[in-house]
Amino acid sequence: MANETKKSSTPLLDELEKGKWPSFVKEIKKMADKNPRAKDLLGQLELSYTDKVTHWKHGGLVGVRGYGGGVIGRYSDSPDKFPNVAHFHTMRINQPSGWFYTSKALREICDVWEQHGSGLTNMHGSTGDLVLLGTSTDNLEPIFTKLTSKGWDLGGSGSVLRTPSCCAGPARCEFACYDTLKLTYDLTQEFQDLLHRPQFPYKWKFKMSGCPNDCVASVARADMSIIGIWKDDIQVDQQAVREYAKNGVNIQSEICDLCPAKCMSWDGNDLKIVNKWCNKCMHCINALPKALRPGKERGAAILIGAKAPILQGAQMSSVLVPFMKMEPPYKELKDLVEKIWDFWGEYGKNRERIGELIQRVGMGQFLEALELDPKPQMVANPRTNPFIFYEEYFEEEGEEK
Amino acid sequence: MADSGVVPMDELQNEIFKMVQEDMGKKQLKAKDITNAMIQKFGEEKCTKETCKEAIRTLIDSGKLVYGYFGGSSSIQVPHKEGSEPDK
Repeated sequence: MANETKKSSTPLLDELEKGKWPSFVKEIKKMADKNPRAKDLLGQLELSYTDKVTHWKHGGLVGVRGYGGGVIGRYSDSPDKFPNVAHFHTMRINQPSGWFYTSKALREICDVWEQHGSGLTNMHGSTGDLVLLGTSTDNLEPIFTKLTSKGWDLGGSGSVLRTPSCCAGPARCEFACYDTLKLTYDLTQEFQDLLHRPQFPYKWKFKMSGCPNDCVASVARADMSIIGIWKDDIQVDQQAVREYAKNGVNIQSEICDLCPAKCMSWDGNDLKIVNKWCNKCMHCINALPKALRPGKERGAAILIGAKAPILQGAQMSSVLVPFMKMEPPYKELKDLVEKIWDFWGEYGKNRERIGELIQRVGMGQFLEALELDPKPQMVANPRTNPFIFYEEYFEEEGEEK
Repeated sequence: MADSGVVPMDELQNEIFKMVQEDMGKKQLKAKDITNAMIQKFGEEKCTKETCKEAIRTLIDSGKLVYGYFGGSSSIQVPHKEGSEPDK
């Protein structure tokens, strides 16, 4: 009877449990029964909703010895009320390529985390890391020691190479034009020092997508998007196209008319593609997966400069290299990346992403530093003046005069 | 001992530590700021990006300097008790 009349201590958070969808409040409450950090987290969160202001203080010096990334400091501004979340640091753990885990590996992490932290996780953070939410400074080194002894490592945070991430690639997807998992692992190993020791003006994100469907949204988020692409013709199985038509797919209206490049035609028997007009949008391949496949000459397009709106507005990445073979040891890619990092390190301002630097100095100067020739695919917004000027044109003009 | 023309590692480390200490509370120094300042001080012939990188690494690994973090950006600092850290 007493229980029935007892008022909830978190009435505002309770609202977030309603509805059919998953609720983070429900998950925190489950953990609160056995973990005092999770219990105080609920209390502080309720207070934040009541006061309409955050009660977290962010940043600081917390980390593990030698590393400049992987731990994000967080403190409560009300430690007297919520002593168990006085420290509530986040740890980023480098996720395996494509987020493939064994249940044994997940249990290992959860065991360590329940012993030393809140037991709450975020699978996964927007950068891709496995995120462990809430521990105190004195627990950081023990957690790090236990995790590294089992083969795990911290991910990136701050002005570092952020943990590279990729789509499931050829492990689960027939459209993958290169091995995204292998490249992600390779870059993670190659640039370990840059992942753990901040040496950049600001963050740098690599995201690997196996095809232009771009399932990891690299074009919207990564400083360097490496997107699988093909150079030759789309593979067509005409008999399978006819099967789709027989089974009710209107090839003309659902495929040809929706092609943004208008490079397809259907005569009721054969699907014809003018491949030189194709802009690799993937619509036809997605719609007719049994009949169409990416071409056989595969690699990746390298795009540069995406970012979310932190200091300046959001930016999508644009093409830097239209096609590059993507095979180990990835020398061409790594050479290009190092040149870009040199330029960024030299001219980048504090907290300036590469996309912002390119906008500031101009694409022409950036390409010159990289010793890359301008290509039509680099024009980010077709049919607008790209404002790229090259010195030799001025020289020629001068000579003529 | 013959002058190899390169600034000795312990001298470089001392200079870096001094710089970070002097700028505490005034400027959030990044590895690049420190490297540029050291190259300017000692000259490119005596001090390179690589030697600065090694010196910073040694100072961080020894705990004399630490990496700080705020708003997604990192800096190099002398260890101290943070203002935001609650008293125990």
